[in-house]
Amino acid sequence: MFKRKSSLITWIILGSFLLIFISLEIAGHQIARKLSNQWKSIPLEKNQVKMEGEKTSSMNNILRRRITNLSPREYYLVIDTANNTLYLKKGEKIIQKSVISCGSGNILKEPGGKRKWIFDTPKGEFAVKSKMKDPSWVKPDWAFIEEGKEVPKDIKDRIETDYLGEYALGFGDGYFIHGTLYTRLLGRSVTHGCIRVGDEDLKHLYLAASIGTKIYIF
Amino acid sequence: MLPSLISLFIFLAIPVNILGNEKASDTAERLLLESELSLAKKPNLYFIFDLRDKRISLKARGILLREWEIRKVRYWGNPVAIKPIALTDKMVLLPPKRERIKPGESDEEEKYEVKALELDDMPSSYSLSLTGGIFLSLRPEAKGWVSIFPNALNTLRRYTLLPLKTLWFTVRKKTFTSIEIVLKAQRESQALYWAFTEGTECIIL
Repeated sequence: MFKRKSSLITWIILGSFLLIFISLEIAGHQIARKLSNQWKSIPLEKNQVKMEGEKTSSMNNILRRRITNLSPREYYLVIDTANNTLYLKKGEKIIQKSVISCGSGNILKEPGGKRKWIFDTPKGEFAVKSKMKDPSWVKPDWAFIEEGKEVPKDIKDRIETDYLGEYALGFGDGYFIHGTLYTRLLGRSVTHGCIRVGDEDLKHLYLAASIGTKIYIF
Repeated sequence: MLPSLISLFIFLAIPVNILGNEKASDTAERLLLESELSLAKKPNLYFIFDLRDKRISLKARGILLREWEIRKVRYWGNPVAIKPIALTDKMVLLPPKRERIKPGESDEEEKYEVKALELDDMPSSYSLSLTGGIFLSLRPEAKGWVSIFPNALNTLRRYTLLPLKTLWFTVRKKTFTSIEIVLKAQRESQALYWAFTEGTECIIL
């Protein structure tokens, strides 16, 4: 008797839940039907004012020209960090395509400290800020921490030669496009945020780029 | 008599309709160009989701950096105004995890062993939350018997979750738009997840 009663209650509860759910579903569907454009193209909003045909068309040409004028006239670099690829471009033409290495995305935490580094290659618009031949690397704190060594106080102990290759292009905040000793790893995300390029490609980039050359990283 | 009248009606109606469509598309294009100009003036990357022409463009200063082809698109809810909107959140079941470096534990051998967050680690099915109650859900096209499970899940989502969400947003007097986008391949979907970072602005057309 007790068992029958409890199963009846269970059915009533389940039924009520189902009823509530179906009611909500129907209400949602009704609202959605009113709001939805039912898989058709999205119409313009009412406040998006109607324009006169000819005026709009000539205005569109002006706007198109204004957008085009914002794009760089000279060489620029496009860096695809997902595919570890660099493009040297002029207008829409690809001048050079290079296999590179970008940031690993790994995290380093200072043992017993508060500092933390995320080794990502930054994304956005940048510009070449410095050009160097036979550059030396001034090792930052994280390089010593990663190696488990003590951070030196004298700057002379931070300088390392032959590490960045023959050329380097700085684009701010300590980030460089430079050469590499680890050519086997080109095409993989292994750096601390800098962009490593093979020797030949790097030379071409160094010659083509000047201070102010735009770099777009995504 | 009747056929001639019908022909006359068609003759008169078609040009009027064409002019009306041209006017509307010119206005839509103007709104797009105005919005794009406002984004191109900033030193940031931006996306254009052209759902009519079925393509997604990543741009900077008006330059096209990368393009994605859309295979299928479905809308639900309020229409979206042609104006810049920003990505506020990426929602995914299992977010990609970053590797932690253990100080002093890397040796010369390990320099050739890649421990990194790469494109393959990115999810291919995810949702993007944009300002103004707009949600984009993206996934790659699934083919063959493998597609049965994700397609069933999507149908379930479309007919159960979306009406409930619409109701919830309406009760709160907020707008709600859900756009379902199917991309060509898994890597395409992963690449979009990689490139579209929080705060990045976009235009939906």
